[in-house]
Amino acid sequence: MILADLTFDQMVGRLGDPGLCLRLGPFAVRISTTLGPLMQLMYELLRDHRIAEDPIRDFHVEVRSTSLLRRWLRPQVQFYVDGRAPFEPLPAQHHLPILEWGINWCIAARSHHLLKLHAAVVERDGRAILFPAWPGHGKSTLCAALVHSGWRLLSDEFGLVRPSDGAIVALPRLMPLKNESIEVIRRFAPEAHIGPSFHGTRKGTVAHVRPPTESVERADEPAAPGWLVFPRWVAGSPVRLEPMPKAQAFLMVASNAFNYEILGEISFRLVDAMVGACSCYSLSYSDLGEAVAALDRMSRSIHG
Amino acid sequence: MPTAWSLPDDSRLVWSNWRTGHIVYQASSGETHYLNATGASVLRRLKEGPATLEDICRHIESVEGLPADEETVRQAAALLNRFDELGLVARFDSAAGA
Repeated sequence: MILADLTFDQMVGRLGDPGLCLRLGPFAVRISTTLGPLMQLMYELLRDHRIAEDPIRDFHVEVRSTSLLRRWLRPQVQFYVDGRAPFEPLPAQHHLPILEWGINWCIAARSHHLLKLHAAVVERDGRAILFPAWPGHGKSTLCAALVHSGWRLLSDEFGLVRPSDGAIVALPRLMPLKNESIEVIRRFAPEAHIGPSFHGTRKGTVAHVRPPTESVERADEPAAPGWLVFPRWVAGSPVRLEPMPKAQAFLMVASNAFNYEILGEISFRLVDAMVGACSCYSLSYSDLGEAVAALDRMSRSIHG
Repeated sequence: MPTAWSLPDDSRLVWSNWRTGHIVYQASSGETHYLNATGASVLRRLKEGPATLEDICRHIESVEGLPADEETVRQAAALLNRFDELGLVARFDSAAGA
């Protein structure tokens, strides 16, 4: 059963008590809220996600208004996980961003049974491109463009590597776009379903792209890593996709992983295997269409 | 008595070797290090057994083709000191260790 199989009122009932448990990739997340605007957006943007019947939840999260006084005077919302608030409240109108950032925090801070790269990941024909990148390098924009160009979304934020076999586990969630990127994707992919813009967040203006239905339906399908591409959007830059020495790629992947040091030797061996299995490139670009075309050619090349 | 170098007793290194460099995981500290060809070659030499600075310089000369001159000695000494700081090698008195 997926969220869209519930009526809105049924969803509201569950979100209040005992909370609605959704499967987000490998995680069962119980979400609670009574905030009307947030519930409406969840029904619109998370509609394809499976309702998890697992008795064990990975995270229990809640978004709710702060004090009664604050309901009238600069109202705020706060994110809770397992009853505790890990960070400061935000303006009430930033309800969806705080939910998404909060779930990101839960995944990053916990779940060390997987090696977690700060990376977008897309897949086609069973092989994945991983885009390890620091904030501001354009990975989310590139990822949103690719998943509307024939690629399956595995993840926009976390490259989850399974220690048993090095496969990339899918975590298809909302793709947040910032500032100018929102309009860029509207133009590039008019069919993309983009939620409302949230202005004045700590990241500027943020809007969320709903992942394609197929990506969410196939969330149980992992993929083998095929390419490591380190992207960087550079104003005015022609597209440059250049091979990267593997030793350098290793160091960049290792420094990019959220929990590389926590997993120790496991991390080392996973990164070693991944770099060995992948063709490694740096990508600089300014035109999204050219970048997508270059990645298409790369993936179809027999030497890719 | 010349100073000599060896791998520490609790040393376990896991290697990731590429044409352009070597990455090594140091199990005792949990740290990951990047080594160029010379650094990797010195650690592999010490895996065979303890060596003095002079032994290391001769090894570098034979493997890397670099002359065992003053500059090589200076750089080899700096490399070994750095490895010592990282716990990758241990320094001892060669007569006592023999």
